[in-house]
Amino acid sequence: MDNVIDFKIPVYKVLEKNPELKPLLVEAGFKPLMDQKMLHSVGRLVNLNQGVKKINISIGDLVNKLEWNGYEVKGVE
Amino acid sequence: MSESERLNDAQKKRVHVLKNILQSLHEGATPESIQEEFDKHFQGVSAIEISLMEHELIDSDDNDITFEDVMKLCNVHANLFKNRVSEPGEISEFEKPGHPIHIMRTENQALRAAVMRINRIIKNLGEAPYEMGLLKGLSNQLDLLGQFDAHYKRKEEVWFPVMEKYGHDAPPKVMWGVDDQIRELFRVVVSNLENIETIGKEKIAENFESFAFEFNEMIFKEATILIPLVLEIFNEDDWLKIATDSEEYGYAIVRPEKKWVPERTDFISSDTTASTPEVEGETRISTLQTSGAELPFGKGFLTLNEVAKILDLLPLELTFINKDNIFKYFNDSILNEDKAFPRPASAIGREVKNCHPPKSLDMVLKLIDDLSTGEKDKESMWFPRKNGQFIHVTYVAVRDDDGAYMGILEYVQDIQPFRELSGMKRGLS
Repeated sequence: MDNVIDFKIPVYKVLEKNPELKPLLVEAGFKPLMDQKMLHSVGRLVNLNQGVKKINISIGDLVNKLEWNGYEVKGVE
Repeated sequence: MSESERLNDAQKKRVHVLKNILQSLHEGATPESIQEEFDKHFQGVSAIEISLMEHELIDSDDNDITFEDVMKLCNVHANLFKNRVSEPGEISEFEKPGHPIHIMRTENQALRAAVMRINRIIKNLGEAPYEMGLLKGLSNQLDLLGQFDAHYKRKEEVWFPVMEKYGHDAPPKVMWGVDDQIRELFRVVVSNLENIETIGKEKIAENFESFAFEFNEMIFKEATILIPLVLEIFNEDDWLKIATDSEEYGYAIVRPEKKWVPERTDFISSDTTASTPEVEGETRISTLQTSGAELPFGKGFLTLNEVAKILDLLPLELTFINKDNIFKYFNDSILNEDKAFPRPASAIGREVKNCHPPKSLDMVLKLIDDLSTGEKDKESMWFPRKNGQFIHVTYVAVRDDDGAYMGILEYVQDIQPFRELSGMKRGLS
């Protein structure tokens, strides 16, 4: 398990690799992820780049939050 | 005398082979591709010896073998046991999600990733005053990492007692002591973090480095010593109990994906109440028992109820495995504490190879092979027990009238009372 978070792969895949990331994403505004059904449906279709637009938060803030928690990010659009 | 001078020739050769194997893993070889080479040289070599060699190779400067390479090799090492109990390509139980070993390893990966995130945060802290976001991230990640306590507790409270049951007292004691030192090192990191503004990040970095060193060492010991050791001594019942008992201690960072359910053969069909006249005898026990039907046995007739009572009165531990090596029946005439081989009811339906610890497996498989192929019809063993019993064990091939193999009956008896007899007794007591 590495600490690289790819913004171009579905959120579901991101959490499969780094399950501990979920509370951070929820805190950042990805509230629907708390719902298993949403995670398994929308989560499989939407990546972090697209998700950020949907919930209307700043992508820069999310990148900072992840970096501050020791993650490396890639694929940010 | 230096380390290398104390090694005998066989050990020197193994170090050399291990180095080559690790080097090829480092260069990207798949674990599968080096399995055969590993099995050839390390069958029967103790986990501790392999672990020491691996440690030396990581530490030495004449190669670029890393911790990660050794972690890859741990799977190969575990497979050495696996290949003796499963068909090639088959996934063995301990590799399935939810198995206590799978959980331990997944947690260790997640914990190591957390250590690396914290190292990265500390590196990025820069100069005081520190970025609030980073401090918050650091505290988040330390919270996550702190869940290693659940991992240690499960190991100490659930795994260790089973190891002790098998007489492995020393490794648990040593490991538990080190666990406690690691807990203390972690506590220092967390409490100093609260005062980072006054004591500075260098101190925190130093604290964390001392912790991380010991912590990684423990991951290494778990993977290279503990897991190979318990894989060799625990049987499937132990693992089932461990899996159940683990739940109340919780998990570190990652939760098991699912509950581990080992494969079993079910002899009672789920629709026993349905009237399906063509089903086999054992699926209709409930109806037969009440019907009291007279069944032809040998030279006469018995009802199922009579058969059950008679089998439970024979002064023997009877066990039957069928032609597919499925553990199918044991009788109940001897008190559990007096049994030479107590069996849990939960073992019914299990493949016999899963009921034995791998170290006795070779003998069991050889015996089954000899009896099923007709090489032998019978095998006996006898041995004294510490409790004063003298146990006599017989394994006999069961064949039908045409000679086709049906399975193996094992009967076990404490013959000490007979060994003590002398003279005669021809009257009533």
